[in-house]
Amino acid sequence: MGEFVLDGWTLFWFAVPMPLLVVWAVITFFTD
Amino acid sequence: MNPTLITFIGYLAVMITIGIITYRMTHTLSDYVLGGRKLNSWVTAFSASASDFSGWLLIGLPGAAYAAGLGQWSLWIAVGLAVGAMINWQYVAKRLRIYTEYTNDSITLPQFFENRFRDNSHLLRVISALFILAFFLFYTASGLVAGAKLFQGTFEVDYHLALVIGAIIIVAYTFLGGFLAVSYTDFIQGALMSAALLFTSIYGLIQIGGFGELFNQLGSINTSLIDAFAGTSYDEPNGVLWESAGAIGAVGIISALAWGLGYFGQPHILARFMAIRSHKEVRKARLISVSLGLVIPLYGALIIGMLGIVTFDQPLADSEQVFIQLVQVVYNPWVAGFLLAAVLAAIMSTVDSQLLVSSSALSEDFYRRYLRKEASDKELVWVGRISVLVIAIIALTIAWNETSSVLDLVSYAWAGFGATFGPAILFSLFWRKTTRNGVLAGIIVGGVTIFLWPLTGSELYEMVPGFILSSIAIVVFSLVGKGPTKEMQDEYDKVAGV
Repeated sequence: MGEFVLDGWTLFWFAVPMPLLVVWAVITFFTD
Repeated sequence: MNPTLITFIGYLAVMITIGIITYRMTHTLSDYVLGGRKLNSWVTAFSASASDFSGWLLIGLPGAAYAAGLGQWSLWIAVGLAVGAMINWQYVAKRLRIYTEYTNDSITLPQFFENRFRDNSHLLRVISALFILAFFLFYTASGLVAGAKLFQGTFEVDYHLALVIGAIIIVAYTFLGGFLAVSYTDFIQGALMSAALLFTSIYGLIQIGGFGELFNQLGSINTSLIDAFAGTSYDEPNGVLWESAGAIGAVGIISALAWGLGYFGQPHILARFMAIRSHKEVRKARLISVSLGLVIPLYGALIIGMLGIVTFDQPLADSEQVFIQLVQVVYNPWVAGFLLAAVLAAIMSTVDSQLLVSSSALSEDFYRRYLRKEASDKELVWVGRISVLVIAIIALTIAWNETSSVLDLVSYAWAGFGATFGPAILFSLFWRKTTRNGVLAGIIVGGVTIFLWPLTGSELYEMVPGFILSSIAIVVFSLVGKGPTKEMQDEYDKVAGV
């Protein structure tokens, strides 16, 4: 690791919403 | 002959051979579209995502990430698209598929509107076909630009020569009956592209030492590259290399997220929903489409763009060349040739199916309906071919500008369809008081807003005002006139399961 890292909000938007949508698709696959 | 060229030509020769062998299997648009009714969820899933915007995923989005890292618009567009796709699959797909069972098995958007609102005047169908034709021109042009950039980046030929060669090849095999539009090859190409984006990005990340090292190197060039709220300018020919451009602000973020609204109105994606084998297949297709068909390629495209920034010694004159150049740096020449040929085939099959849909709008919705009702099938085939040629030539003139960008052309067509048909589809499916006049007004207001918005010089993505004004028009014109007939309301209640 160097001195430059993603700031908190950029990291959040990069790492959370898209995988979360896949989780939603997995859940509805089993619940529909 | 270098290895890249040999595998490139070999791949295309195999594809063309398969095409000629199966040439007799698909003859007309209805074969192509109706063949879709037998499609399983894997094929539908990929053709509703990766295969439908191949050029954009492989050329456009990596280019945006190369020019601005995660900043500017690239991350927000990816997030907006993923959210829009999931909502579209979750709420629109199944209801639209059930509705088409009640409305004479509609298989295209203009047909669905006509049947949904019992529009005997055919006005709705013709107006929708007209807008589909207009915005598909920009889509087709974006495909031609993507193909030309690939030729240009692989064989170092002149842009205009590459554009003309690509266009001739595409028109030639669309005449052969559009064989590459067979959905199974669509699926194979979509899956191959998804895999190429995934493996190239993972391999590149391993080479460089992981995400931490990638972001560290990007930050040392300019911290705006690793800040989703910051803008970055990139214009190599004019000597601008990754310079800070200030915060993108609410307008920038809303504009980029609004890409997600576009999904509700894309005629070619909605056609896949209508063509899925049964509405029970939706949940499986949804999972495959959102994960393998969209989220993984989106991450791959973003990472590849960023890897390009830290990989090349010489900054690229055209940021949209990033994937094409990276493939040639990362892989051995034989693999590179195979991958680049697969990319070209994917782009071509996308353009080819768009040409088919547009030419059917001309030959079926206009020619047969208005000019010559007694036209024979043979005559229609010729009208279809001539319209393919005319559409290709117009798209070629749109693409002729050497600084054309796949991202800009797709963004315009995407907004065009999103604002024209998005609200119309949502209200048709979810508001029982929607009337024919309401939808007609919404389609016209949405489409005209997209045409006129650039004149305002606003930074806001035209999708936003187009979508809002179209929705308002639908509500107002549905409420002021005569309400929907009892028959339509009963049908709505049946579909909605009330």
